Amino acid sequence: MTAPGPGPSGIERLTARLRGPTGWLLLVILVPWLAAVAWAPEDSVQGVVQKILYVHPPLAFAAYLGFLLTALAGGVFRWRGDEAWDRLARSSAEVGVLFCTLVVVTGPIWARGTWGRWWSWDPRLTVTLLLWFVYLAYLLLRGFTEGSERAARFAAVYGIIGIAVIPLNYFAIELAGGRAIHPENLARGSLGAGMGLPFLLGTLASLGAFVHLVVRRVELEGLRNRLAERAGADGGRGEEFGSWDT
Amino acid sequence: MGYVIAAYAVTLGTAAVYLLRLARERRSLVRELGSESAREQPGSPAGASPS
Repeated sequence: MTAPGPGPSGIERLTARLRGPTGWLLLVILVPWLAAVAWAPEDSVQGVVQKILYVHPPLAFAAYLGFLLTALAGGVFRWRGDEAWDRLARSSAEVGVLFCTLVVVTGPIWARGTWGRWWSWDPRLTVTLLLWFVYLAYLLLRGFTEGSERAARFAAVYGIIGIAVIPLNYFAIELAGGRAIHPENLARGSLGAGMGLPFLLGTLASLGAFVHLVVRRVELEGLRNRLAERAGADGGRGEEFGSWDT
Repeated sequence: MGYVIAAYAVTLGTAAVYLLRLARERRSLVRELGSESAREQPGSPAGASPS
């Protein structure tokens, strides 16, 4: 008789519980957000294209959160050695890269509508591209070194070092000292009348989508791990995937 | 208006495709885990798929 595979970890039990509620919460936010965007007043300078504001920065906030969570989970994995934290780091990086990709795509669409060109080597745009490359490299590293504990431990350190790009990205405009063409970071009261609500809902929708996707992604990693552990317990496919290879 | 629609369509479309991919993979893994469990249970026919 084969030994049963291990049960899900605390993180995976939590994600299994959160999958439904976060999905419903996201649906509940999405509809009012899109309605608020439709009814938001047009900007007097940029016109209707300014409505990209309600999706572009919120996507960036979620990408920041993804990379911060990658670093945090990677740090806990290094400290406690629990693979579940590594799976959270990896999942968070993947969803963070997805959101960062959307930032890199929606930004040029907005730029084309306002500046008349798709791209400029502005400090904010350049550092955003750098941030995207840093975590894309993290995913490539994880993809090419599947199942290696040494790579997982290295990736944890890399993920922690990578977050140094986040403050550089956020403060790029101030650091550029007036040479940037990207608008400054939003401050309290800097949005026009009627623009605060769609921006707030956009931020909640983006963060809600991030949490829901990470929850689903972590759950997937947990299922893959359980399957690999069972295969390992059967003595057959254990070396194929799932077992640490130092 | 085209730029606004493009930005929102790309964002929502990409997120939806990613979500569907995760859901499909989850279904397939759950099915696979279920069939592994069925194989482990004494008396259950080998390779029987769970209901």
